[in-house]
Amino acid sequence: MLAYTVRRIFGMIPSLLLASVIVFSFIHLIPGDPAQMMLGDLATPSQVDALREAMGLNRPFYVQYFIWLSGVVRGDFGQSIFFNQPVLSVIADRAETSVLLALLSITIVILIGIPVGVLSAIKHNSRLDQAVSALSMFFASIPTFWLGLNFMALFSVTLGWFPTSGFPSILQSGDWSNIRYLILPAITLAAPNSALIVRLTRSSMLDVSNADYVKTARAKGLLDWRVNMRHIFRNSLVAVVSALGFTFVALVAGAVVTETVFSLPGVGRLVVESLLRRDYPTIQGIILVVAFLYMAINLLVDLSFALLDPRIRYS
Amino acid sequence: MNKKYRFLFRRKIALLGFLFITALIFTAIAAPFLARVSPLTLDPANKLIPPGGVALLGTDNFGRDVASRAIYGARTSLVGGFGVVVLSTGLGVLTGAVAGYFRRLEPFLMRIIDVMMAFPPLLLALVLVSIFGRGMVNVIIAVGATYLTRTARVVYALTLKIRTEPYIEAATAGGVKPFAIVLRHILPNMLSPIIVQSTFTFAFSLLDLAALDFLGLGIPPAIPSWGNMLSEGRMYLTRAPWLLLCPGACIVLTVLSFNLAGDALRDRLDPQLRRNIEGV
Repeated sequence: MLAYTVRRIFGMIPSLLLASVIVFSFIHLIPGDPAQMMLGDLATPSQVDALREAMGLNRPFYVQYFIWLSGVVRGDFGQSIFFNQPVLSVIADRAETSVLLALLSITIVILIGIPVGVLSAIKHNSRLDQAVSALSMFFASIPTFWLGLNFMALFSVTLGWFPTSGFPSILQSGDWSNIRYLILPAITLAAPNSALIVRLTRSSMLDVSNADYVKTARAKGLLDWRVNMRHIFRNSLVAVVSALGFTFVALVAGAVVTETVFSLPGVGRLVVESLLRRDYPTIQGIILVVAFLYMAINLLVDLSFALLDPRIRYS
Repeated sequence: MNKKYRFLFRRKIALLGFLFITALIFTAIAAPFLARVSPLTLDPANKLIPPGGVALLGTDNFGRDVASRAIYGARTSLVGGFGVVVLSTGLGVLTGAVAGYFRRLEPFLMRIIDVMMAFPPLLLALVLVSIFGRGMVNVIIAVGATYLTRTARVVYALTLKIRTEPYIEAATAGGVKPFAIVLRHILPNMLSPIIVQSTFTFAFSLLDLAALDFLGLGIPPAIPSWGNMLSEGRMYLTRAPWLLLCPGACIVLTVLSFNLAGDALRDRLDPQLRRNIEGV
């Protein structure tokens, strides 16, 4: 298991390098002069020259890449053009909101998605199952930002249950009641992802329930709930857990939209702001961090299979 | 009724989806005849009028007719979704089939596809649009490029399965050229999964296209699209809720219809597909 883990960690290196090449080449896709584009039309030629020099844009592509990469490896993702600060510290400033939002959302996704999916599969073809299928498809078809705006109009503006927007830092104020600012955004972000997990849990439960060992378990007279939980649910968990990697990607994309709707000071909104400001070093840093987290989560997911399913042994 | 199409009626809800898509295509084509006034006409004297009075679905902050903009928005959405499907399916099928059949290219191609999966599609599309500029073609390229990974993976898995079939062996033994085998023997045998995947791609890409517009990095604001309408209407959340209701409902119904269609097609064309294609 340990050897496998180490091998997998080293196996991430080529993928990360490839990801870094893709992320790095973004800036070089910009037609014309990237420095001019990032600074806008109002910049003086000397400012543009200075930026070009600072970012090393005058050198050949591969030299620039290796200089950038050697910085990234040491935790130096370059300077944000807008904030004039290291990219990593700009991201760190915004991380609290996004991390809390993601944790809240994934909790909702797991607490709603898995039980509802299990129930729907156990009561296969019942009224309940049909209602769940219809609802989950409906929620998977709603644009996140529209759902968020509707929630805001209903629960914040009309009913006044939640604050409409913003999020005062909990770390700085120490006031945990600020979490109420994140409840509506978290529900908004969780809704489509819960719907996907409901559907996935349901279909993988139904897949497993046709297996021979399930028939055997039923034939030997085990109680229904025991067959459902120990035989079907445990075996369908692998498919559900492996979907969590994709859920992470969906949460990141959803956070970009949700944080914009609710004006939350998170990394998602930083993406949109940086793109509109053409602050590409910041964008590169964020995307690289996201890609790294995705690969790390997938590794954890793969390793967790050994715990979930004793048939899977890594050596 | 032809047996081939009976599946449309077995699930009434799926039929509703197909009907809605048909109506939408009709609306998009006949937009100039259906819209009472031009979606671009500014009428500052009649701005933010509630539905009913002067305009059926009200007017927006520039006095433009919401109903007209929604009708033309159907055109924008369908063109956008269709463009994304053509691009992502074309490139995805090519990548997946080449990686699956020409095994020497496989490690390289599939590694790229795997790495692309690590980037959230919306994020990648946002970056591409911000680099190349707002506009319909750029938006289609950006979203299409991010969706090709899904198709590529499905086609790759299917190619691996099909290439071991006896008829492929027979064709190889008969001296058919590799490219002809892929084109004439492998691809036609995975047409159904590709159609199902494309339907889901259509549904999901509409959500991403709308999100791009909403974030101000989609097609230019003057062009009527549901995402643009929501982006502008957002400022009038409480004063003019009809600005959000109409385009939002249009997006939900359209995406829902394509998801229902995809589900019905999947059940009909190949029930075993569930393993490979998880649409919704």
